[in-house]
Amino acid sequence: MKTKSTLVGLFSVVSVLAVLSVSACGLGAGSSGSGKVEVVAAENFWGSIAAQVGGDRAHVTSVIVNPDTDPHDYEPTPADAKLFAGAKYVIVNGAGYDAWVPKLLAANPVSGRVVLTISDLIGVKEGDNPHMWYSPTYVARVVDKIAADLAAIDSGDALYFDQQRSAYQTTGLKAYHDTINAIKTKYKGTPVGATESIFSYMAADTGLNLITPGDYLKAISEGTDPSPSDKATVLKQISGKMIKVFVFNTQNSTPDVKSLVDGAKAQGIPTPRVTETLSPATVTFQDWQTNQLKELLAALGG
Amino acid sequence: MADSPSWDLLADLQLLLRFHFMQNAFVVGTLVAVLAGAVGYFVVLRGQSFAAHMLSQVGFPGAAAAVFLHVPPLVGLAAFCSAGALGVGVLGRRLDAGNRLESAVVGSILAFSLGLGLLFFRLYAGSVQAVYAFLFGTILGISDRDVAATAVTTVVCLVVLAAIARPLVFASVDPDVADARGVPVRAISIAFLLLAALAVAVTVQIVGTLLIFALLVAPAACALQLTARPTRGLALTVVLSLLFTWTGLAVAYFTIYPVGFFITTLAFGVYVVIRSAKAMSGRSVGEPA
Amino acid sequence: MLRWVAEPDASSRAHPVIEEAAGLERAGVSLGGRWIWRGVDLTVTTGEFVAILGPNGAGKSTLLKALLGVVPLTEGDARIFGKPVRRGNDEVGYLPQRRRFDPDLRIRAVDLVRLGLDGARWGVPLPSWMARSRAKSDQVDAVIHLVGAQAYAHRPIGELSGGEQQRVLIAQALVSGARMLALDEPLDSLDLSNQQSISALVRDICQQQGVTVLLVAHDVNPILPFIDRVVYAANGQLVSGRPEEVIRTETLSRLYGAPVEVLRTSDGRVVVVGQHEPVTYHAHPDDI
Repeated sequence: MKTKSTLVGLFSVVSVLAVLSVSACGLGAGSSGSGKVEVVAAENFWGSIAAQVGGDRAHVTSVIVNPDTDPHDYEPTPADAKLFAGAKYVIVNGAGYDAWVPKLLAANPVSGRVVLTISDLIGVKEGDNPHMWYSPTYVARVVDKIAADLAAIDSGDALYFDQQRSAYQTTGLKAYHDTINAIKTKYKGTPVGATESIFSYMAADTGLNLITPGDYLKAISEGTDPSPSDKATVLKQISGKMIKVFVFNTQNSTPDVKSLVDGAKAQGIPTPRVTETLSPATVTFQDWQTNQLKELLAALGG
Repeated sequence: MADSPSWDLLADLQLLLRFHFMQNAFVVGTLVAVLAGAVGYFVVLRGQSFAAHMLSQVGFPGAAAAVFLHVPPLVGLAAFCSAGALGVGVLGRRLDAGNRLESAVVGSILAFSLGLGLLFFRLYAGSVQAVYAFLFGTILGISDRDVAATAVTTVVCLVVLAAIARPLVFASVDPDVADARGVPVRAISIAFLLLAALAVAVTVQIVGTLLIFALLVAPAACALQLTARPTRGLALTVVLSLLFTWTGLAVAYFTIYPVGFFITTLAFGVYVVIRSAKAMSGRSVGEPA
Repeated sequence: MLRWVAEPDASSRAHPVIEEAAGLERAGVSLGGRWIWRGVDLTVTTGEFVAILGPNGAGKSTLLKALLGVVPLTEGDARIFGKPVRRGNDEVGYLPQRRRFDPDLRIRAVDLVRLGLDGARWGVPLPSWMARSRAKSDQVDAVIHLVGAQAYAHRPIGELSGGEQQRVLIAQALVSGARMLALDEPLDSLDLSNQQSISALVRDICQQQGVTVLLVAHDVNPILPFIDRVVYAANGQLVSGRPEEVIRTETLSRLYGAPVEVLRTSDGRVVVVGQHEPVTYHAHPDDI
């Protein structure tokens, strides 16, 4: 088959391959230290919690760390798949939020690997609000569960993990819980609005009255179009100053949402910000949440 | 767990196949490459790349409808893919394929189905994203069950394709004479689209929309630039399809970037190089007389 | 069985078999509620070269398609070589009216001819090393040589000129042993010299291989020296006769129902001029 056309074909393939191969610089994945539990979390908010409970007896890697990455339509890479294949303990949010993870896990079963699907733990089903990390109640349960799982995997360090858990619940999350209580004490029942459902659990736990239509919150969270009537309601709530603050998820914003936020500002309604994942990516879970809660508290009136 | 390629190809191969997910990726990647290559040869020969694109997109609203109706998503996916294929076959020209009328029909069907998708997601109380993510697979997330499903589909489709191969080629390049010679041109055209719909409906859940569409079009586009002989063209399409898939997987494994990017870039790069080579040589690079 | 021999058998030509190649009896075709032609009685004998002429829409293509079994008769009978007409009859080779092949169509001329042999059979072709497959390849090569297309047979069909494509298509029509050729306006998009050479090729095939030819043409001039009979289609009628009988001012005027003039130029060419038709003498630009 040594015709000219075949040679052209082969030449093309080889030349393109050569160019591509230059990009194949080896990825030196972090190697696990001896004795540590290898933990992989799909998102860095759960990963951060796991890192603090696991302390220096666990090595935690999170997959979604870039604030600009949308966890919903994330396209996993071989590097991600390798991570999960090498993990002893996997933490998945669930409820349809990171549906690509179960696929990677099914493609590479590992004996003895423990998977924590948080939606299963809490009892949140696919279709319900998946933003469980914005609920202090659920977070507390997850902290306990992670500690228990780590202890089961590495029974030799069970005592250590329990101490870490206790310290985290009482000390690590103290400022977090204090700010929440402050909001609840002073502003319970205050009507507020939000750009999407990420804030719903927090609103409930802080006693704030979130009056933005539920379908609107869900639609924006999922990236679909809200109904015109819902949108009209939100506009009315803003223009009529029926809400004290308008909580804004800056990582899930469309021009439409942005214009609503601008409208709120024009009405003198404060727009405290929240984000989907740790922002910046280097802070701890509690610092991230506490900073946002403090901004919310200030917006409500201090 | 540092993974770097070396000049020791055997060691690289061992690295590539170390994980179960990569083993599955290569097995299913091979099957899909062969299936998409074989079907894709005819897609490009017939000028039906737009219809192929439609098939890779149209199933998703069907899955949404199915979920809303409490029916397995695959049923809705397959139903919409088949309906799309039938629509194109019935509303297009009786004998001719891949023409202006067909373009308009394909575009209209695609738009309509996407609009239906909007409706069903509105009606569906669950999570849009979850349906989407569960539905459209990734080559790195292939379970052993997926391997079996792909194997069965590949065999079934290739057997049917082999059975209709000759009259399909005839109907594709010379529909008027084929019709006069007794070839059931319209029936074969519809059958081919349904075959493609089946191939897409199954594989899109396993490897995702990008990969199935890319492999349906790009390898055949390259092969048909290089040869006008049917048997050779089909074989070359499959060879290129395998080459793009294996190489894309292998290179991606040693990087932090997605697999789909490498496969499609390799395919497109090869196509551009072929076209440039032909343009520079002045005449088409055909078989010697 | 290879039907084509390099040297025609002179004796068979001297005593041709008289056989009805195609026959229509009280035949009529109605499409879309309108009669194309009706009450047609027509006989074509084996080995005749028949030109089918007439204005657009008169039913010339329909006549061919009726004999091919592609368009069913609304009334009457049609026969091919004594047997009822059926679609997919290998005894009749067909060149439909067509524009050029898409220049980007990626299939070789020789593959197109091969499709004429077994393209209508299910399955895949046998591998080329098998004897039956070799025999088929030889058959294809023989007919390609017959039409004189061997120089470009292995090039993609889309890259060939109009005249070259027509030769290939004639080969495709003949390859499965057709005894009749039905050609629908094969000369229409060709330049003058190609019109003449294709006409001569068809004439050779007719005389040397004994193939009956039905050729639809807009312009009768290129084939006038070769034709045995003319069938003229106009106003729902089909009239058959010798060229000098049919192509006359009176005959054509009656058929058209309008003034038509048949003129002869100084070098013997026939020109038909009528009120409803532009001058049908085509002067084509070079069509490469």
